Amino acid sequence: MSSCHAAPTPVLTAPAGTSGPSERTSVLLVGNPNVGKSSLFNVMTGSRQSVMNAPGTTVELQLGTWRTPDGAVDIVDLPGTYSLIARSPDEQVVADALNGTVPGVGGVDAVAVVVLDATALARSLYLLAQVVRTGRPVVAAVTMLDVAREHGSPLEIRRLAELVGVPVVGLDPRRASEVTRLAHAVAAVAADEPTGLPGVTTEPHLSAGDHHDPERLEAHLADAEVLFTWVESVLTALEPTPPVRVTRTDRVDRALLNPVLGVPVFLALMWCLFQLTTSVAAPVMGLVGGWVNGPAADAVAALLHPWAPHWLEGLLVDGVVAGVGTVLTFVPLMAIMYAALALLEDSGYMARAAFVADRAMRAIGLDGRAMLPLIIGFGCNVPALAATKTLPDSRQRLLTGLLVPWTTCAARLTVYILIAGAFFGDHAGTAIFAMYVLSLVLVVGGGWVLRRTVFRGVQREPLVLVLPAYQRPHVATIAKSVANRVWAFASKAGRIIVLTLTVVWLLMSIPAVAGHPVGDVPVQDSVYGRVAEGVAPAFAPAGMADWHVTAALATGFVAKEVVVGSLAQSYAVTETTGSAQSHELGAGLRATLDATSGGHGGAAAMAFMVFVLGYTPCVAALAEQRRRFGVRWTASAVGVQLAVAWLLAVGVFQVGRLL
Amino acid sequence: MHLGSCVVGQDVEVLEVSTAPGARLRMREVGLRTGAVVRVTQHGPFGGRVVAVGGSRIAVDAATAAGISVRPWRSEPVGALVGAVVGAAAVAASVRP
Repeated sequence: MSSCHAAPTPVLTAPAGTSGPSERTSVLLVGNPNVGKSSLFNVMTGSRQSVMNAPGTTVELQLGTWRTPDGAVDIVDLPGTYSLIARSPDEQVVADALNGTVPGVGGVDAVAVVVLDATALARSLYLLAQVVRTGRPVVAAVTMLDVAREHGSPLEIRRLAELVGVPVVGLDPRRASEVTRLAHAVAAVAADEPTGLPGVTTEPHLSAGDHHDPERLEAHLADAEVLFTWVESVLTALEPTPPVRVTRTDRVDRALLNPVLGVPVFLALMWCLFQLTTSVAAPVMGLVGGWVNGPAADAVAALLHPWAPHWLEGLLVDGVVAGVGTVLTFVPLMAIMYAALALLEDSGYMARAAFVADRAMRAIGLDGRAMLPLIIGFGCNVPALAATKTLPDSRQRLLTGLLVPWTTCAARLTVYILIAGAFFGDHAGTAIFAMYVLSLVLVVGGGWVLRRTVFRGVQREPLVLVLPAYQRPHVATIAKSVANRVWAFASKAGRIIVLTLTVVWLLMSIPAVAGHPVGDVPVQDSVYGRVAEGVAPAFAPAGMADWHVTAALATGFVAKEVVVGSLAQSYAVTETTGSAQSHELGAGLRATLDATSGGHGGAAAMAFMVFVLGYTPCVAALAEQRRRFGVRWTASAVGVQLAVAWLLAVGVFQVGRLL
Repeated sequence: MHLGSCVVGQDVEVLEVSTAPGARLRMREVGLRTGAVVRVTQHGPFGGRVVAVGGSRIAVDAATAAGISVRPWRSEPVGALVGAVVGAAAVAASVRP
């Protein structure tokens, strides 16, 4: 496996409501991408779902419990794949799971339910043949039967079952009633001895799919040829393939994939997505934040005030409640983001977006789909990291996830506006624009460096992308998927956010000098202030060795929105919204940076902005990175971001003071 | 001729797929293999092509499309008829004094 696999803590517990090893049937859900596998999984399991990473990888698996008339069944929804000869870590997990070598996933007796697409039967049958040859019990579930009928190629299920030698169930994966028939088929096949592939006697070539080893490649090609022949024989025995027809999808693609219109349409959709995660989400986030920090915090304070000591009230209200409030403010944003992504995926446009953006992203060594999270990142890095889930290859997800923090989010803009306004007067706009240019340079440059270092193994492959037919998104399925994903974010990333904010409150509340009670300490006399003072000399080469600055940067680790508030607090400016107060804060900052930079305040201010762009965006982004890529990658990313931010800040200051 | 030079709506037979070794098997797995009859259904941005392989649609980039050699394809009855007419004309020409 590639060196870029993370090793997050594997969660091997069974999903909620399941027991340990028992007589219960297990099912592995397998299929090509976009065959309706996830819709089927959602209908089977309802809300009885959980998520785990396959051990030793960042590949996400959905686990669930399926309550059937024949008893409860444990299901694992495996990533979509075209083949068990893997070409990505995600596909390798599918192959390993079906070969029974992934601990805690399926086991050797698990029934494989292979979802077949009636409109692309050849491709589906090839995967079915590979799964049957693993020797485990198999049931085939055929979707898209109505579309195949519309295209003039109705499928005879009974005939197909005779030809492939395993039970076949035709169903609409979004209808619960039809799924019951699948349950009966699974129960029946679980009790039977598995049969081989009719008419195929050769043994499968099971070695890992290293396509760059000519010997292995030839063996895989020869093995695949046997299966292609088998697939052809099945297709020939079924109805003859009708001629290609112009479908509704083709007509829509004439506009959406038009050589001239395709890119503007894509950019317009990305603009809508950006607006959704910024302009639309902001008021809702503000409402939630206002409610938590207002009435909810007041209510908790009122409950605690009569009996609790001052420090405990501060800890619970300003630490824990504020932390929970931060998580809750992200909930509407994440819900909007997940709904938009599900809509794009469910409708069939996501694959087209990858096709349209491929050329631009290929230039920096990324998958076309990476364009989407990178654009969203300019609004907020947290949903952008969540959006990396749309990339089909875990190495590409990780690579993109490491670059997202360098897209300059809207929260950083508040800092740029304050600093640029205070130092650059009429040229403030140019200074802010330079930050956006630098952000693009960091993303492109970072991608270039990563592709030549830790991601050397990720080969640049030709684009061969299966485009699913357009379909009307199913609201209930999307709602269920959004609810599950938002809950996963709130419960996993949320814990880290609340914990971090509580620790920060503690550091700011514990006095470093005598004479102050706990919970009522000026920042410079707190442990936090002393740490900021201790760190300040490290910023001398960047011209900003002052505790006001380093304390604000340390607070910015929590969230960039609070950098301005932190500066205002340290300069004892109560509000930052009025122009007089902004002026006062600006004057304080100018005096500080002029003093620390030897009279080159402008260069130090630019260095400060560059550092804000380059280092860790916020604790919520950190928590989301950790949830997706594990502790090791997140810690390494933080280290690299701090180092790059410092080097750039020093470089900008040193060059700037010569000008 | 190659896939990138086909007009929209043209049915062609794949003669050879020349691509990076790592992608050879995947191309075959999605249906782009020698002997397959495909139709170009859309010209995409930056020279990309969408081809119909049976009921499914496959998008390939410009470089990949240029690496897929094809020839025009006619359905067998028409092809046989054309072949018969051409053959008969050749025979007639050869026996003419």
